[in-house]
Amino acid sequence: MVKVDVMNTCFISERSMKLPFSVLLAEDDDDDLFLSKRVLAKAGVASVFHVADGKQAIHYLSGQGVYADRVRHPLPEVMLLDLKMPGFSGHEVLEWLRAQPGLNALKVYVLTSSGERVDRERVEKAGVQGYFVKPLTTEHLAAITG
Amino acid sequence: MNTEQRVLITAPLGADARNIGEVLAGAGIEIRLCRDLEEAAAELSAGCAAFLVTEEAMDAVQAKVFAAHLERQPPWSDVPVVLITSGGQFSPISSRATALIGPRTNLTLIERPLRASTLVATLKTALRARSRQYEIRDLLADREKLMASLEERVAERTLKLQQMVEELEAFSYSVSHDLRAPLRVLDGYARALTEDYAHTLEPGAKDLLARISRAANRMDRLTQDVLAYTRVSRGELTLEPVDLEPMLRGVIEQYPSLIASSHLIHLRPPLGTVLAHGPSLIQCFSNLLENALKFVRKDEEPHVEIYAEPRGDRIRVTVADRGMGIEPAQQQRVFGMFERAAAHKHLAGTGIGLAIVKKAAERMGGSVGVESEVGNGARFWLELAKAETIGTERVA
Repeated sequence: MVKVDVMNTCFISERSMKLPFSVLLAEDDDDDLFLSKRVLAKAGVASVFHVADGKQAIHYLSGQGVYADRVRHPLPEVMLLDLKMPGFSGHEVLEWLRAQPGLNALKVYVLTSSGERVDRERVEKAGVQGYFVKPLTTEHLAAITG
Repeated sequence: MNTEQRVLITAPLGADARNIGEVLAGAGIEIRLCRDLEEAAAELSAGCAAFLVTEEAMDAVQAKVFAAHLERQPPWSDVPVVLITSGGQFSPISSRATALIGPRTNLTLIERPLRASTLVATLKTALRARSRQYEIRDLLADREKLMASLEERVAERTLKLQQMVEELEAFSYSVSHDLRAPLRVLDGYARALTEDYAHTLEPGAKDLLARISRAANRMDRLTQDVLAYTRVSRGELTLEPVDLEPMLRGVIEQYPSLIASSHLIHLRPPLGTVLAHGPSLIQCFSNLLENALKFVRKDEEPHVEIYAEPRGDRIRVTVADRGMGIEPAQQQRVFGMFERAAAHKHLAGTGIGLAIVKKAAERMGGSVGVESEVGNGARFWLELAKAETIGTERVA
């Protein structure tokens, strides 16, 4: 017998945190970046850092190159990760993250334009804290803070 | 020399071989003289139309090897063997020779003294039989070639179909990601403008921004619906048993567009288990329920019931509302692509929702319909096979 799974707009884990938190936005689209930053600013999140693709995200999190300066580029508490980015995709970043026990404290939320079941299932297996379909909303932030 | 047309001759005694060869060559028959059965066996492998042998040549060891060669012939081939004997058909010598050449051999006996006319006639009969065998061989080869080319064509078509399915998947993925992204951004900027500059914008400007948002949302919905229609029309559907009650509860309680109105939808169990493609069935019922909630008279609260009834080996599930209803003339048209009942043009919708339901139902081997009277609600029904009657199947 098939158990029919109705698609949710997001799934959230039990672990949550308090506002304001520091955020790394991994986002290649300027418009989405602008709109996400606006929502974060309205919610009082001041520490927002940005990388434009998956490779930069990995460099940022591992403190490579220009990101070695942890005063200017501190490790964030939360990462909002786009899936479809040039070069390294969000899926590849998640794969890399699994092999980084030092980054266990980082809360990862996927923020994507894809409501596709295939993306959702792949991400669920990667063990992220949540899956948000764009645009970023205050409800999403509320889900992060619980 | 064409080895297929030649007659192999093994006649070791005296001038037999030469005499027989001359008679046959004189009748236009190609010949090849072989020293003994061993040589004849080797030549047999290179091809021959018939084999002529005298009983003196039937050396026990060599005959065994030769018989083994005959056994190895392809299915279409049955080389005629002509055995020249001296002692009559039932003499110990010819019986031994017959036994040596093998019981399944296509054997003809000719007794000495030999007459040229009998010899030529017997060989010509053998050659005619052999030429029929060649015809069969050629037909079999043609058939094999045809089969191979058919298999090749089937493989090509299968590959092409697979590529089409993959292209469709890639297209759907791209549509859902890339085509919808600018609409989301458009709506995002319009909302940002409305919220961030609320104090400086005149009501007229706010109204225009609201219109931009509505148009972007409508286009987004349209894109999603066209995508859903494409998927139910062209994708591969695996039909499996779906228990209707938990599936519908899931749709009502979790589907984003239905959550707020879930208390207005009433399930009337038992509903049963149908054979369906889960995601397509969810799409069907969410569309039917959204419609049932939408088309109500002004200031009236929707009331929707879902019930099921068995119909032979099928189950008919009905979504009944107490809304505006549909005129008889419009009842079939509402299932068409981009068709919307004229009276409801003012309500939000793309006109694809019911077309998706109809297409999905058909792909699942089912059917849809509606019964309605204007002002007295509509009962949209979906009929599918009961799960108990058929197993899992794939619809390409």
